[in-house]
Amino acid sequence: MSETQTKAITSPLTFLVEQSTKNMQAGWNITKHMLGIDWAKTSQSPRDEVYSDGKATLWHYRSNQVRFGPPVLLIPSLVSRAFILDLQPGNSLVEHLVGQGLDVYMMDWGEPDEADAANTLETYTHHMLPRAVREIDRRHQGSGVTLFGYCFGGVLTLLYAASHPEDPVANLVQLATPVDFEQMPKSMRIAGSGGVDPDHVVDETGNVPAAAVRRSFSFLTPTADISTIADFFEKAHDDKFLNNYQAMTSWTRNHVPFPGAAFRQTVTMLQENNAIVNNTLVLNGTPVDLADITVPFLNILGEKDHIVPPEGSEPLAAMIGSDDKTDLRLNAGHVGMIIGSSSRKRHMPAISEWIVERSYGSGEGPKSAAAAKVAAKRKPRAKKATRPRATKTAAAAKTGVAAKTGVAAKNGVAKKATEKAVAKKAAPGKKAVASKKAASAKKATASTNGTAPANGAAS
Amino acid sequence: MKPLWRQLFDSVEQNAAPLMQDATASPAFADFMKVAAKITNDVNRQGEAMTRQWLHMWNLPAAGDVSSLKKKIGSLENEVRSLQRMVEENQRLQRETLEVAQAAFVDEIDLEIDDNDADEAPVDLQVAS
Repeated sequence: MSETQTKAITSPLTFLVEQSTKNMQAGWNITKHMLGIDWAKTSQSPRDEVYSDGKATLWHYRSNQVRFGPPVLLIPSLVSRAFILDLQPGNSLVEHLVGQGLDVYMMDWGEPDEADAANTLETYTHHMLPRAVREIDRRHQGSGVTLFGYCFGGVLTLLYAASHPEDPVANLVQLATPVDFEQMPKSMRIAGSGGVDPDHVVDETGNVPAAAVRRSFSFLTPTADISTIADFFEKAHDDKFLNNYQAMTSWTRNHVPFPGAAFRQTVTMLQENNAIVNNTLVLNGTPVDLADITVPFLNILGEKDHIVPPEGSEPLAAMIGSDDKTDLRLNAGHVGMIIGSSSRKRHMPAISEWIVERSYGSGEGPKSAAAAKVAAKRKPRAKKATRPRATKTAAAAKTGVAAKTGVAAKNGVAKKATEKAVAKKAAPGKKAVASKKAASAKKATASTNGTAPANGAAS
Repeated sequence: MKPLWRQLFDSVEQNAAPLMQDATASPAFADFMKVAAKITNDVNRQGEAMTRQWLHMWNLPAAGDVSSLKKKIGSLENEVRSLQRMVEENQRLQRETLEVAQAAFVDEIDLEIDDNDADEAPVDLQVAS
């Protein structure tokens, strides 16, 4: 038999065998999928809980390769699961940032219930975010924090940064942040403005139910759900596809409720009054101006973003008061900016490069002016710490107590510490040692055990 | 190459998607949603009132009672959380003020050290009693 004849007989057979194997594999995968067996795992980067505040949890991602500071705090949206930022190994923004030598934290807002129905925007911008930023700053000895907000999380970081200019924010990164709500898709603006009454959207828990949140997104691309199902049946034999499909659908079909009070505020202030663009933001009774944000600023826009179109976040850069501000336009959609092969190859490296350029390496000084400002603000006494301790100790003992007490009293505080020192110093026959470390409340001591050596015994 | 069923699906989807997107973005759809939300809300409320009446007749709690209780508990939880935040904020402020005062305290000592250094005063740790 010739080779051509052999091929003519075997190729249909090969085709049949291949198709059968593929179909069997697809059938098996669909069965497993339906039964929830071997479902794709998400959010796998190793992490530790720093603290939890109500439903919210601050996570710290473990890393033994931190090379740059300040640490990065990721703020996801309020209405979707936080694990989109750490979807799967090899497809995770968190993993990428950690791999670039950055120390990464993430605020997971959790799933609101009745207890969170009264949460306003201020609950996030004036309580939860300041606490998280200060905690991270404290853990890193005043290094400041690079804030990274995604989608509505970006709105929260903006409002927070603008209303707390004194807080240790070193850099601000905004990813797909809606600011001009008139440019947002109409199907996302059904509530308010004479449309659906916000009170009719809120359920008995006081929150906008997750199903309603999901529905509002599905109105943007009404056929997307059916297309996704078609994709699933077409490629169910492919294990890798199935894994990605499960990971993505567990995010796209699994929203979280929107706290009722924050929702009403968003509809009234941000959407109906378009307060960010019109500069009429008021939080906690105080006007908020984005021009008060002066730290290095990166605004990332997705050219194909159908949820937050580029026009919706374009005005942002012009409103920020920073000298160092960058618009990064990515040829991607809302999720494609941080998920997928293009993101891995191009988008995430561009983002991390910007952050690293404005960070400082371990053992170096801060590179950016803002980071330097934060560092200077947080370590104001660094210069004086180099003074010889013996001199201080001796002089501190010599100068007497009245002056010290006077200073403390002038400041109206620290009375306990000074009174303690006074009492010890005033004790007859005792010798006092005041040291630099005495400045710390817990370490403030006055040695009473015999003669202190002239070179300063305080440690 | 895509299977035939997929090619057919895609051709239908490509034609239908823009139409459906336009429909969901239209004012008519917004009006429809407004009415639908109101009707759903009213039906739910009336249904809840009826079942509550019936269940209460049998001295049984209704979903509305449970919901009301959960709201009250939630409100209390929220209040406790607010108080906790206030306490933490106060503690933080106290800590910071204390640090500032202590820094000023040490500054004052340093200034006096400088004065003493200028006078070349001898080091004497003995505190006069």
